[in-house]
Amino acid sequence: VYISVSLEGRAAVPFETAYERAYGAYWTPVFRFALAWTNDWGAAEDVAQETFARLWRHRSKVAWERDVLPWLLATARHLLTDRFRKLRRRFLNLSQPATLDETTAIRWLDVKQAMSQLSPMERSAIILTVLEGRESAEAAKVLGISPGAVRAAVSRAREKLGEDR
Amino acid sequence: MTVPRPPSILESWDELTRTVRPPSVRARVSSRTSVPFGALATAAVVIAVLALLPFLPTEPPGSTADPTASASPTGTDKAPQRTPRFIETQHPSEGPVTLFDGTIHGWRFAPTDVLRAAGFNGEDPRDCEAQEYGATHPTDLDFGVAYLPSGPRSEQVTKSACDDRAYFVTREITFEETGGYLHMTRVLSGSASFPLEAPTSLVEPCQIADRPAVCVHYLDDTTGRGGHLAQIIILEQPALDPYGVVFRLAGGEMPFAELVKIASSVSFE
Repeated sequence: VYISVSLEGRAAVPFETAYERAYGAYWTPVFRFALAWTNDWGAAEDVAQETFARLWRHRSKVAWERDVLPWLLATARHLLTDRFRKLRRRFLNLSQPATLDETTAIRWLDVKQAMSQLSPMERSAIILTVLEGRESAEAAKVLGISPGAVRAAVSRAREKLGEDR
Repeated sequence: MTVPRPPSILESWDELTRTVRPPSVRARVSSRTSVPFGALATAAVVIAVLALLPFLPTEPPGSTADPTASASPTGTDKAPQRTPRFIETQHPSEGPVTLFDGTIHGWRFAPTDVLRAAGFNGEDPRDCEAQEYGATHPTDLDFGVAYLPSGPRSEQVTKSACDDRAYFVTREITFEETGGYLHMTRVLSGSASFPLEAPTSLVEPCQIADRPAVCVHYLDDTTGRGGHLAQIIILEQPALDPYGVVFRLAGGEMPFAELVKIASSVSFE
């Protein structure tokens, strides 16, 4: 028995359909945010999966009529600070991600090394704003800091990476 | 002849992650909706075992097998007395990186997979569905910090508990002006081991406020700052009774001496 909800102003759909749409559309952005924060491929996958597990668990409480991405990012942010709960990945993880092929894994290690110059906040700020195209205010809401702090973090990140403005 | 500009780090990051695809959504949805059937199956097996119990052979006299051994072995039973050893991992840009694997203050510090391979499976002392509490909920793992660097900051507190007893309390503080970052965790440990993935050259035993501790320095400590997080791990209650209590402070974008000052000001209530 399905319970009908609406998603993005469309006709009411079952929870399962709404969840599948969100999963298909937003798994990658959530993963990328988690990867920006952790700089750890495996941990980011774990966090993305757990975020969607929570979406399913709280499906009856989620405001499906609105875009669920902010909810997902906020939940991921919470999980990222709580990611030591199972005491598995408490510290920096230097291991090679198992889900990547060898060539990609080597490229990733180089990128990861460069990104490790940045703090989690700086990485998240620059990924959310520059790559994901979010406004400073939106990114600030996700990261729990002020828009000014987001802009400062992006500026520092650009400087450290030697990126053109 | 024009030499194409190599992609920037940010462009490479984007290219590598843009096409990452999630696992099959069907599989995930179906696995989540099948939980009740799993519970039913478990219940059926339990009932069957209970029904068969009177007919099962009893243990032979003199057997020393501990029926609870597989359920909750103590940390001291599992902790091997080993000399420090090292593992080599290859990094394409830096050459070999030696990750620390050794014993400090009687506790084994090593990467997670090494600890697991060595039989340290008691990392999660309470395998249960955690309850999560906010900052104001009092728990037995709460801690105070008398010294923090000045400046505007935001803080997030997370507390996880099983059966009303906390096994994990974390405080995460971000300093908005400097981007400085602190992640403090007070946690129970079920074995005399702690996952640590850090280059060997950065790890050393230390004392923080007369307590045994492990200091993990920044990769580039000449300026006191670096991209790598620095860590201070205080073995607050190293004896396992049945759990040890460990305090871990990870920091970024602030001098290591400042981290020591913060760690020294922590009060364990």
